[in-house]
Amino acid sequence: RKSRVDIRLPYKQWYQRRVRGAVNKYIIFEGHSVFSEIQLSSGNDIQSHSHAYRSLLRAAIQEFGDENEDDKKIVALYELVWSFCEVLFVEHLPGGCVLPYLLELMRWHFPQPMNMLSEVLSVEEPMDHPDFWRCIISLLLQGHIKESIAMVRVTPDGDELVSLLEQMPLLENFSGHSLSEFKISWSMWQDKCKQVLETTHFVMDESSDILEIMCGKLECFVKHKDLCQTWYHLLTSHLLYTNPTVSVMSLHHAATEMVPVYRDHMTPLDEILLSAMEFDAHQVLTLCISQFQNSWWLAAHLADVLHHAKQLDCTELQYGCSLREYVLLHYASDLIFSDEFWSLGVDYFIECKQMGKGYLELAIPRIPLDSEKKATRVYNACQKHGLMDLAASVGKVMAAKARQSGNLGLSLIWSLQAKDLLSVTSISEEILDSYIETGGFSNLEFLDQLGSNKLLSNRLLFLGKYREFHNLIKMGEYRSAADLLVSLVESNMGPPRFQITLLLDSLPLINGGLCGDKVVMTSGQTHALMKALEDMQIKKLLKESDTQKVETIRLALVTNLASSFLDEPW
Amino acid sequence: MSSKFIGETIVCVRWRPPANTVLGTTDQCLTVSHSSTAQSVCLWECSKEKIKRVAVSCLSDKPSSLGMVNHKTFVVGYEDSSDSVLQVWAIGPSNQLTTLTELKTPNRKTTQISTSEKLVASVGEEGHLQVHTVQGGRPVYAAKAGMCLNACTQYLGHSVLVGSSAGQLHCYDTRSKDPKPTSTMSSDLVSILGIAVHSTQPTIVANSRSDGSILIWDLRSGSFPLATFAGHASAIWEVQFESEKSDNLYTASQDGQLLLWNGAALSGVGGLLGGGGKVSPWLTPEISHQKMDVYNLLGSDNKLSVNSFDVSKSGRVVCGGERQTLFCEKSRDVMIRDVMCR
Repeated sequence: RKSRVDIRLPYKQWYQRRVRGAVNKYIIFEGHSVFSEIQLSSGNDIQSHSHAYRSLLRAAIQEFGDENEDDKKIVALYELVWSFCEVLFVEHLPGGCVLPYLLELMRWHFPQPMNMLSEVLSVEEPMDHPDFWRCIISLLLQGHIKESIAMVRVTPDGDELVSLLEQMPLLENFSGHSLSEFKISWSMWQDKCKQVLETTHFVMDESSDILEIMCGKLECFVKHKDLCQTWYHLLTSHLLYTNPTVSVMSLHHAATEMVPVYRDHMTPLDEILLSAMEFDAHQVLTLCISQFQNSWWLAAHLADVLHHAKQLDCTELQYGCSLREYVLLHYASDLIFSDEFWSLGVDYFIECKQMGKGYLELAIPRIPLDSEKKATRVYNACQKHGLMDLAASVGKVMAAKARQSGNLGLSLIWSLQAKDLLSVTSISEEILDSYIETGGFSNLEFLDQLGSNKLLSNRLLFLGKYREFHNLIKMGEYRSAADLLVSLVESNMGPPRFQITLLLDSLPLINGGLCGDKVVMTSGQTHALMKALEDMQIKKLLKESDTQKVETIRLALVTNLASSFLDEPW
Repeated sequence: MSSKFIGETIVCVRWRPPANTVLGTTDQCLTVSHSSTAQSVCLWECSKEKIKRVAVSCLSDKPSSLGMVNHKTFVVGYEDSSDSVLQVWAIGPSNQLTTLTELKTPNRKTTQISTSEKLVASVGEEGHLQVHTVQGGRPVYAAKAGMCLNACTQYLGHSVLVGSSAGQLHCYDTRSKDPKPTSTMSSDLVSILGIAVHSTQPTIVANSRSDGSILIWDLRSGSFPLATFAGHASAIWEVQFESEKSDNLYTASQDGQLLLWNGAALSGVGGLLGGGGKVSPWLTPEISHQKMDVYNLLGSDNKLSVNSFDVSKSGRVVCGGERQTLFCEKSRDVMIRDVMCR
């Protein structure tokens, strides 16, 4: 234990009953599933797990209905941050070209161009629709070349533009050839576009806008910045028409030009994305923690993925553990105090190798054990992860509860599970006391099945053997019963106040009792019992009320002694 | 398996019996579930492609168990009912769920309910067994076992098998007035959580236990179990024999697996006549489960407890648990192709 580290559980969360919406619950469960897979495969193939996280985030946005709009917006932000981090830190891009990935991302997050397209095409005369030109531009900005060709064809300058657009080299069509070949043909195409821009005079002003975009002129892009809505969309669109083979390394430089365009619309999210482009994983996570304050989901799972992708260094924070563990601990603390997620919390804590166990030792005893089933669940969860002390503590709590409600049998069972010797001994004594009072064992037949558990405590062993004695008498095995009884008396395993009961139990075995005329106890055995009686008198263990019993026993033993002398051979 | 995220921890799921019990098939199932803020009973339609909710109703307390009486009636038991009652509900013609009546039980904390056409048997943590008729009124039979009872199953129409936390299986006869069990089978001190009776050979009984083991008893020779084998890594909450291919055994556990023990393939028993096949593999002492194929129906990525499941007459499985998702097999044939062998 490090003395400078002070493990403090966020107790305030214990009292906050956080109501989570369906979307949040969904990503918590699915996220846990992927997280467990990653730990099992110890970080191999981290790419496919990162994809799994993205698809679960997208599924969450698509599957849930309108009442979850706010949650869905936040999840959309998670997806954006995740996608950027994935492409920058985790993904192995073919040829190192990041643009196809970014294009797909923009198309998913900004579906407006395709919506606009279907709106415009739904009228009879598309060219008369007020959004017609905006639609073409936005399609171009997202790289929907085929659709924009179809729209441009109906314009007056269509022929020129269409021929240029049809010649535009696209990365997806160039899979067989090398990157340098693509670069060459692409720059040739753009030179051609620039030439056409210089020389041709267009009927409509908007057509020259289109051509300027194809030539990658930044002023034109800025003019249509409302169609891009964000700097990263603008970045992607601009790169499509200036440097389509851009690699991940150059993104940050390109981004710094775009950011000022949207200076008035910057959100905290943008800082996260910019830090990602600078490959500063630490900063990304710190910002995630501070920006998404209500939920550690993103920070926790992202940290884990970055850790397994070897992008996060393992240096210890002042907190006493690595950054990954820090976020996981906080996320798990969020979960462990919830009725629905405590088992997930346990799994996350277990993965925090340095401080997780300490947190668990504080948290698990606070899980309310409302029912036997819940207690079994918690007990098994502790056992599964090797937390034997905590499992035993669950057993002890349940044993105490059962004892309070008077169910001695259940209490004994839980104490045996918890291997709690003191409790087992004390319960056995209580059972024996209740036998003295009531003369029977009610509903405790399971005591015959104790097996090796008997060895846990002397009292329990005594109780087990005592029941065996009664069973032998029931079955008519008087000889064996007598042997057992004498050994019990001699061993002094039982509580001292029970000795008198044992001696009373010898009465049925004596001549005239259950066994009729047969002599069951030998003289040696009778002597042993008499000695025990004497010992009790010497040690002053007998009470006033017992004198009648003592007389009866003494008389019976002496009678038996006489009979046994007659019976035994000289 | 098709799945539907429902946002509440599923406590118990049961297929709704078809209106025509002889020939009908069922596509609807009922669940009782709870979350940190609410608890409800829902009726779901499980078609081949997806699962859709048909009806929902709020419950007053956290539910712990559910039993279907017939096509129109079901009973809900509560984890900690302040009035110590079981509630009898009705499903209306347009699928509305309404409460009908209440059955008083001495158990405040009901653990399991077993229902048949006529009787409702319930057991609870306080150790009482109570058998009512569906109409309510005074109980038909009552007994106290004195130890927390976790599982019960009706058996041969007039008996009830009950499992306790002390690992004992008691058999009670509801026709008699005697509150003592007619027989008790004991094994080691591991809590019994689920009981299943073989559908064609009713002397074969399977127990599922809290340490993940399964015990097979032959009730005719009750002193030792026929077999004990380790089924799961963690507590097995429910166990069932399939009604058609009755040598198939299903178990659902806290370790997130729903296993199918394919005994039917070994014995070749199936169909209505059943006879002429070999002996049920569950009767052989060496337990041919070692030669038995075991399928994990949920796939290995589910790590969260499967609390409950039900197998319909056609062998279609529906299940749910801590993952707050209802899983339903698309259809029987698809299942055999989809599963992974253990």
